Amino acid sequence: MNALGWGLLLAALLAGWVVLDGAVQGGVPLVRALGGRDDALRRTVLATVAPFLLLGEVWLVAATGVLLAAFGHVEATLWAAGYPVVVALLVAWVVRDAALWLRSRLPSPRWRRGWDVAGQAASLALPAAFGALAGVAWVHLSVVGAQADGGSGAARALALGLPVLTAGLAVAAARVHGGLVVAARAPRAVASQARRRVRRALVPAAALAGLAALGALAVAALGTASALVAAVLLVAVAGVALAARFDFDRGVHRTGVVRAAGPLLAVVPVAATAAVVGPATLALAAPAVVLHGLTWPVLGAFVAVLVAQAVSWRVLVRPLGPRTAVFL
Amino acid sequence: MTAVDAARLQFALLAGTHFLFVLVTLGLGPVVAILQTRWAAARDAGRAATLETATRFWGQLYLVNYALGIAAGIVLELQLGLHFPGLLDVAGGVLGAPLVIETMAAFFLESTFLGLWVFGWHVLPRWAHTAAFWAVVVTGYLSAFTVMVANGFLRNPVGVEMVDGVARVTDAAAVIANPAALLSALHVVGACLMAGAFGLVGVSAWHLRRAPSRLPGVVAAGLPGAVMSAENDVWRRSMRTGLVAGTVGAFVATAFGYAQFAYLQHAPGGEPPVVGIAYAVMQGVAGLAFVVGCVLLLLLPGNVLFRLWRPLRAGLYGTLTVLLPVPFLTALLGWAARELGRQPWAIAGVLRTEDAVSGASAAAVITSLVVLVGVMVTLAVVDWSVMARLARRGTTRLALGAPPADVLRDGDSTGSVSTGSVSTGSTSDEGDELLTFGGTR
Ligand code: HDD
Ligand code: HEM
Ligand code: HEM
Repeated sequence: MNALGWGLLLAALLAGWVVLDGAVQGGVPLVRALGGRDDALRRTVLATVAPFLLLGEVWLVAATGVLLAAFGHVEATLWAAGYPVVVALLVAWVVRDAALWLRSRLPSPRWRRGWDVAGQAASLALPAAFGALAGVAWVHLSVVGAQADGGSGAARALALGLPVLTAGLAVAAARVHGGLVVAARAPRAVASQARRRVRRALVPAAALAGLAALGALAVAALGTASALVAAVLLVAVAGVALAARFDFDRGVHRTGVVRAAGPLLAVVPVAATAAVVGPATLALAAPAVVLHGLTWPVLGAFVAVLVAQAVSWRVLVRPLGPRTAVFL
Repeated sequence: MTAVDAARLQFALLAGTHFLFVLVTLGLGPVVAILQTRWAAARDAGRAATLETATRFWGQLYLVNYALGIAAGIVLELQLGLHFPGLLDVAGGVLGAPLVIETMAAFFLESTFLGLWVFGWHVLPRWAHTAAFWAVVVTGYLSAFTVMVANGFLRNPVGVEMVDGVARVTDAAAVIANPAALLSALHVVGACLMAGAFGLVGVSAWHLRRAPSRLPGVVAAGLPGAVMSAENDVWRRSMRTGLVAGTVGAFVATAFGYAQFAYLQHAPGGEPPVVGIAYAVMQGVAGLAFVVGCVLLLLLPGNVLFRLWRPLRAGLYGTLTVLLPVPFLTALLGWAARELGRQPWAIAGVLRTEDAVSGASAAAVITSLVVLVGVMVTLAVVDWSVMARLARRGTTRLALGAPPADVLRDGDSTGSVSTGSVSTGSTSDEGDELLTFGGTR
């Protein structure tokens, strides 16, 4: 597999993460809102996203493995440029996991409510940090970084603005996506409340996607032509979000547009990032010998993983019922 | 403190924290798998019930441990790129392979199967559910081995040639069969089995010691003719399993511990005092554990161990509980010996540690040290105290593998969370709907 193949694998792993873990990131902040003070109801909301936790977060672990093995220099560049963001991402991730696994282990209501607050905060911080890191990548793996260092005012404004924008977009996308997953699996009354919140998040998501598209255009104007692809993708997904909102306002929510809005909003920022940073990333790939030596083990593993995950999804993702295992 | 010191300290503290979880994961994993297999194969209903309870109890502790083990591992994984990019520049071609296989294959499958095991509890057929957990154990050991290959390369770099200051693999088999990977991995297996076993024995002894106050004397004493309480049966079984696992573990750790001395004679690196202390402590702990383990095993036939003279038994049980942390502290010492013994090298004889660190400023590294170590250690301590509470609570109200309705009601059963008193009518109906459809398995 050449550098392009490895780059696509990396993008696929990140896309898997935002879809699967994004369901948790978006679902957990609804726990307190939809569950109220009723602990059983809170756990019901948690149970809708619980299977996505273990099966989802490994996608990012695998992505960092690929980053380390095939794009070590990209990793070094990113970590150096976004050091505090990386640390924030780690903290948010760890706190989120601890909150989910530990909250139901002890019966004390204070213990549980405390962890629910921590879990909600961390579930917002996690996509925010990931989105910001993507923004850092947009800046430092395109022409923007060098031009900002060179003193260009426009580039410097982009270097500051882009991470904020992509962070906001990632948070809004997770809200929509996670809310839709909760709505699809939860009992009816909970589901309709979740949908109401999704409806409210759609317009901000579309607006942020539109702004990010403008940012991508600016990056393209400064000289990284591949950012045009990102702009097109982002505009398209903004359109999908608005169409979904339109369907909600008509009172229909079983349409294809609504169903696609969540996964698309989650994935498009990753695809857009891949488009912006792709050329620079491929140029920084590990030497061809290293990449070739690793191809078969990694592709073989990927196939095995896809099979195992597909089986797991068939078993685990069904509406809540008497055979649902509640643990979180 | 310089940036180099801060980066090293940060790595050491986070790795140590991670490894404490790993010890339980790898040590308890096979135990849970065997308990579940025997449960799946049991014909007799009473025996099956005991084994099911044991599987769920130890499985739940395994899970609470695993959750933070993963988190600690994630933090650790990003440390390499964050602070030691030099390591990747020089040996990226060597370290990348095991680390990417570990994350892509081993961890990925491990977590997937674990998710299947926890959340597919009532859906999968019994045998498939058991197989899922065996898959967790196998992939977990595989992942541990790949990490040891990466770490073994640092201790004893073989199978490569240096071209322009970059290590290039010439003999992949030698990298994998590196004694610093293979022997050390097996040594670590011994350490993990011991750690899991001390957990089993310590917790079971705690419960058995308290049994008299909760049960009629005859029963607690396990006198002939008395019917054993179901819960005591769980603790006795766990104690027996733990004694076997611990004695085997001590034997394995000793065998592969001495085996390591052969290659270490030629390995570059210093001999700070901690190395000598660590060797002495490890030998002492392994030796004592093996001898005491054998003696206690000899007391198992006819349940002699459980019928010793009361004060003697109470003293023995108490001691076994107090000793629970010993293998954990010993293993940390072992790592300190290995990693400090390698200094001043990051890759022995090839790359000095100070040349491997990133250009991050001392202030930045110290800040992340305080933040990451602070968060991680706090969460670890909270996690261990939860594990201690769950261990003491025993086999009542296990969440793992219980019908959903029971689990959802567990808050109410303590009377602490009131259902429906604040929430609106419609949501509490939903809650009731959920609470009632959870029948038995
Ligand atoms: C893939 C590599 C790898 C693996 C599997 C481990 N380590 Fe390590 N360790 C390193 C790679 C490393 C390192 C990044 O190379 C360090 C940092 C600086 C150095 O020289 O080695 C290090 C340093 C280091 C130190 C401090 C030594 C010093 O800097 O003075 C300690 C005490 C440990 N580690 C402990 C552990 C523990 C408890 C591990 C088990 C989980 C572990 N290491 C696994
Ligand atoms: C530099 C050293 C290490 C790094 C970077 C590292 C990385 C990781 C990561 C990222 C995870 C989480 C995987 C997931 O999401 O499922 C993990 C878990 C795990 N690691 Fe490590 N690890 C290191 C050292 C070790 C060592 C030395 C061992 C054993 C000998 C080990 C055994 C395990 C096991 C068994 C797990 C599963 C979860 C758990 O144990 O709690 N790791 N590690
Ligand atoms: C007679 C018994 C033992 C001997 C001779 C022994 C010897 C050793 C040696 C030579 C090392 C390698 C140090 C280096 O690489 O510089 C080591 C490491 C280690 N020891 Fe032991 N040890 C013994 C028992 C134990 C016990 C009982 C435990 C824990 C319960 C333990 C845990 C470890 C660990 C975790 C390491 C680091 C990983 C490794 O190098 O394998 N050891 N030991």
